[in-house]
Amino acid sequence: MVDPKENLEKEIKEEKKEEKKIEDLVKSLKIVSWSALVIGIIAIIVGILAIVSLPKTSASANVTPVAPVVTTVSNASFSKAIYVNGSLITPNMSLPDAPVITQNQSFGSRLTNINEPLNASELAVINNASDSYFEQAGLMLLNGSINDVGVQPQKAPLLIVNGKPSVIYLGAISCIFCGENRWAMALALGRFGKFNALFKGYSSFGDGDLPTIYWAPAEYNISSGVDFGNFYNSTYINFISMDYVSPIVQGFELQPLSYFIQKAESTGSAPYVAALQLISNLNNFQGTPYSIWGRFVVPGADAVDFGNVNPSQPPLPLEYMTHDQILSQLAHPNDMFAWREYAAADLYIAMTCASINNTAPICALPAIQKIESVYGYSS
Amino acid sequence: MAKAKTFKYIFTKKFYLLEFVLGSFIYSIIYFAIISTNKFMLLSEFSEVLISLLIFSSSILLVIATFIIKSASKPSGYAGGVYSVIVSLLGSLFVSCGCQAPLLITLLYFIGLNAVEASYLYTFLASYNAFILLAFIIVNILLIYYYLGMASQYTKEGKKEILGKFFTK
Repeated sequence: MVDPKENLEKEIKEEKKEEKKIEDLVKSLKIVSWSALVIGIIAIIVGILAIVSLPKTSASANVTPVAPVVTTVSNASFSKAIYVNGSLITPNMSLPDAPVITQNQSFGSRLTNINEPLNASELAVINNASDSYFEQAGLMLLNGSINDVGVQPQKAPLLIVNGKPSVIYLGAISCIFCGENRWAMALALGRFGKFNALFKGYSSFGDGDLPTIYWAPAEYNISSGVDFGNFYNSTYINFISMDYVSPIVQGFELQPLSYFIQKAESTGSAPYVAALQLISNLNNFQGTPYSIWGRFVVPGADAVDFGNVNPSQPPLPLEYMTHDQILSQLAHPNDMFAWREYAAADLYIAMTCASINNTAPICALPAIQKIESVYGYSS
Repeated sequence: MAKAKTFKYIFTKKFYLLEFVLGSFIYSIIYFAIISTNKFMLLSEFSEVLISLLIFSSSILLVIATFIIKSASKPSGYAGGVYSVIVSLLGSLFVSCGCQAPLLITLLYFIGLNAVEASYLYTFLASYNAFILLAFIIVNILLIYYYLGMASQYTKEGKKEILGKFFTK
């Protein structure tokens, strides 16, 4: 015979056990849901911030490009200009401590021809690029057949140096994007004036070792410094350029803006100091490259162009190209790499044209005028 | 020994294993979202290994912290869980500092820094992000060790060892 009291106790015990199990389950579910909620909220915040600061690139083919909104960084009057008089910096044509390296080296760790000036025919590729290439690339950009080119500029007051508006560039020789972006910049600047000299260069070994051009011979051996100035002449604009220099055989390095200001002050060039003060005051510096094209700040490169195909992972096709191959592509564009460079240059040209009231002949190009209006630069 | 057994005990439970996998997945998504704010990110193999280790160790820490939260009668373990989330977020932000760091610098401007101050922090992080990640990983490992000690109070093996020590004395 089973004692009913014992039976009841057993049942109560089992029930309690069940209750405890359910309680435990509820407790663990609560913890899981709270953890998921916290992680979810954080992920949403990060996601929103990521989307907000995501650089805008043009959409895929067959999509009418939407003009990016030109934003102002504060209520300051950007219609006002900053006037500065003073001499620009003309660097030395060669540096004894950073000689031209003539021996052939292997990709990824090559400095072949670094600091070598471009010869006349190479320089002509930049200075005398045909308007038809800019027109063709501009039309391709507008009809959406070129991707990975696009920019969301912010507004800035014009920096007028010695009576001419300025293009300001701040970069680093070690930086991969600066290396890629200088090609497009040079093509764009070549439409408003001429480079009397440009130099072969590379991004740092840790940042792709991409072939690029330098505005001036680079002190690629020193631990830290800034190379100011260039050999550019134009009747329409000034070009104020500065590149942070660090050992090219290492990785990407940069110093804070205060370092650039201090170095600029030591040169005694009022336009360079004014340019850096402007960059500081705008509060939109996000790293290198950073450029101001008249009234437009481009906080980054305006294209992703590392070869005919932009891979998501290294190696990049551009890493395996030589200066000669790039110049040859730019001289006779017939692939996506070259068209993207010209399209990226078109955006810079359109911003500059909008800032100088379209006074340069290149501004009359239909594609440039269309870009100005579609991208909202002329408003 | 109790710590190793506790670790084994926790990670053989389906619930915690699932939490580890989900935690790693969410931390990875956060990392990819952050680095996608750069147009293109060229990460060295060393940095890739470091960020993977950081995500991995943060997820382990999260799981152990959850185990303690679930098992303890008094509130404890929350700090480890929060730290795990924060450290993986910061690690992802810091590793995204290359030529450009749009998200990090936007955040710095948002909290009131000016361009010069923001550039100080950005250039510092861009130069030393590998060392900072390494430091985060070491702190994670130390915290995992500490939390495993705490967690062992709530497992059979841990209790046995504690009692064993007590009675042998």
